[in-house]
Amino acid sequence: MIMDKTSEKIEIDTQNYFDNFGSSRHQLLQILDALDTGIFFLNSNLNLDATHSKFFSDIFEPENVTHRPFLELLENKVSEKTLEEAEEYLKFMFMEEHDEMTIADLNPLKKIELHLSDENGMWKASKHLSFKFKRIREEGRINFVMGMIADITSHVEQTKKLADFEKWSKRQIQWLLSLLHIELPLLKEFITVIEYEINHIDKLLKSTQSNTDHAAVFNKIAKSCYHINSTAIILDLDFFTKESSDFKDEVDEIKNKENISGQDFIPVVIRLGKMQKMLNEIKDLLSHIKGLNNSIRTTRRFDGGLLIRLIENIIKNLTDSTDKKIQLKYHKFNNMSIPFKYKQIVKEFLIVLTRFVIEFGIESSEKRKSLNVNPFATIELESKFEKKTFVIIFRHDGNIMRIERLLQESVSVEMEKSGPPETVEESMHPGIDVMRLFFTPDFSTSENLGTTEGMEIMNDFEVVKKKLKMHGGRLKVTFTSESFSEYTVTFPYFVKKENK
Amino acid sequence: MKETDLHFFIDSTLNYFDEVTNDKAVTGIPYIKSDEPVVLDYTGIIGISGKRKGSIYITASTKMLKTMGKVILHTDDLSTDDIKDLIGEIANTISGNVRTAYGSDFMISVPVVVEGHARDISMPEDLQSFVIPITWNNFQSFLVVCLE
Repeated sequence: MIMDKTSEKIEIDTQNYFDNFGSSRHQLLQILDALDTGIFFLNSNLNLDATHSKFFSDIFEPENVTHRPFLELLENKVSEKTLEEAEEYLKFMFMEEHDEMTIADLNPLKKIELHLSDENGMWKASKHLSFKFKRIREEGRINFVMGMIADITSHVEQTKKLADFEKWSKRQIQWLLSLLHIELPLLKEFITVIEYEINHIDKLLKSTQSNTDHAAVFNKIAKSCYHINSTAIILDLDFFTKESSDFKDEVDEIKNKENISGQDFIPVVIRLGKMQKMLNEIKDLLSHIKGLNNSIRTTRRFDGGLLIRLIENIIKNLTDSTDKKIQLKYHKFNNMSIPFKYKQIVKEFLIVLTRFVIEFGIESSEKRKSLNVNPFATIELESKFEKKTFVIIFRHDGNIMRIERLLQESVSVEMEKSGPPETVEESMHPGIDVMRLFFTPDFSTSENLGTTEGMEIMNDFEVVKKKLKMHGGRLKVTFTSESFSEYTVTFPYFVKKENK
Repeated sequence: MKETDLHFFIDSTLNYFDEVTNDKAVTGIPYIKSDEPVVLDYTGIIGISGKRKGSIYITASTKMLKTMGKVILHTDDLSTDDIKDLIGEIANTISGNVRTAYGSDFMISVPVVVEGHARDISMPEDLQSFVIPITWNNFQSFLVVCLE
């Protein structure tokens, strides 16, 4: 009877205990679910207890976390090194001989990046978590280790974004300051040229087969590379010039190698990738400048573009230390209209001729005054399409025209001796013969031409002359008035008719 | 991505061909991957995360892998699974080398083998991918590297 009563009491007590336990466990789980912190418990085998917060299980979803080895949950999500260190630290947490506070600094999970992968094991996203661990004692013994996780993803990402943004905006401001000094049409042209050359190199790399002559491909790349570099230099874009100069140096170094292999192209492709990124960033930057699209419409004043800028630079550099004053007129010149295949040769022709005329033709302003002419000499450029040709005209009013006239006279005397010209075309262009004399390397029209500099210019003339011939270009010199000499280059130009 | 990274991946791949087949593979001219797919019959992909993120894959034709299999296993009778194993092994070798060279701070995934070239292998969009053509025994394969 007593036994029965005792047994009944134990049963009731047990039931009450379980009811209370169940109720408090339920309450505990409810509390844990409401927390925005991950809470979990580890036993000495480092396995997870069934009691944990929803926040914790959500982090590892869809995996089931209950009773799983904790470190297994982290596998492939943190590095092997972190995993090894975490195991060591958590084992220490169950060892009485290690002071909890002292070993807290060893916790490798204090701040970690949890890498989440897709079904193929590829990185998909990251979560930044901060783990803290606390010993839970029962009767003085370490029974559990409680883990607490805070999701610091947004904090870490915001901090990173802020740092990246600071770096990015600093760079953008520097770029913007450089870009704002340049007229928008010039920038537009700059972007077109750089984009063209970058795409050209890209296409070359893609289309070249492994059995192709690598040196030949490299020469083509080098050409584009020089063009990129010279274009950036013309506009004084420091940030781009530095990158393009490095690119050019790299290409030059490899170009001189004896045997060029596929692997030699690696620095080129890496640099190209960098330049592509830079260009996209510049384009992006420009697109953000308010009203750019409206302002970027080219006006006649800027139609000359980069080439005019280059000629202006040459004039400035060559006249800076002298008393020569030159006015460049280009209202009839449209750089954008030059057919792409002639751009380079037109550029070279104008550079050489400008140097030649400034060096040997244009007098000092004092001398011009004494000759009773405008102290400002004039160089005038013109471009036009005529019938089936594209024409570039270079006009100047320097004293070289007197030499040119003398030469023409000597040619005329020569022609009288040798009979009429062989073709009608030739008879229409007596200047060709003048130029022939000009382009003879050892021909000297003035004292200056005997100098090294003079010889250099004449040699450049020779090269340009050959190139003009290669492009089917014809050159003539005429005298439009008493005071002007005119150099005309004519290139064949056919517009393809569209198929109806 | 740095020059040394690309050199490293290329050397790892070339060494594999050299050591396993005793026949040297040659690197073609590398280029930047565009939107055009670079996928042949079988592709072995490995993912990299940790300090730097990205992925690498090697893609080859059935003919090339069969010829390689013949050299390595001395048999003409190669099943699809054998071919998949082979491309997986190449990717795994690269992966192993990456792990050794880049240390345990990097997390390298187990190679995934993809069969067929119906669609491109997706790479992280914000990163540039570099394509390195590799010719072995007159067969062309591609190593594609994309790394932060």
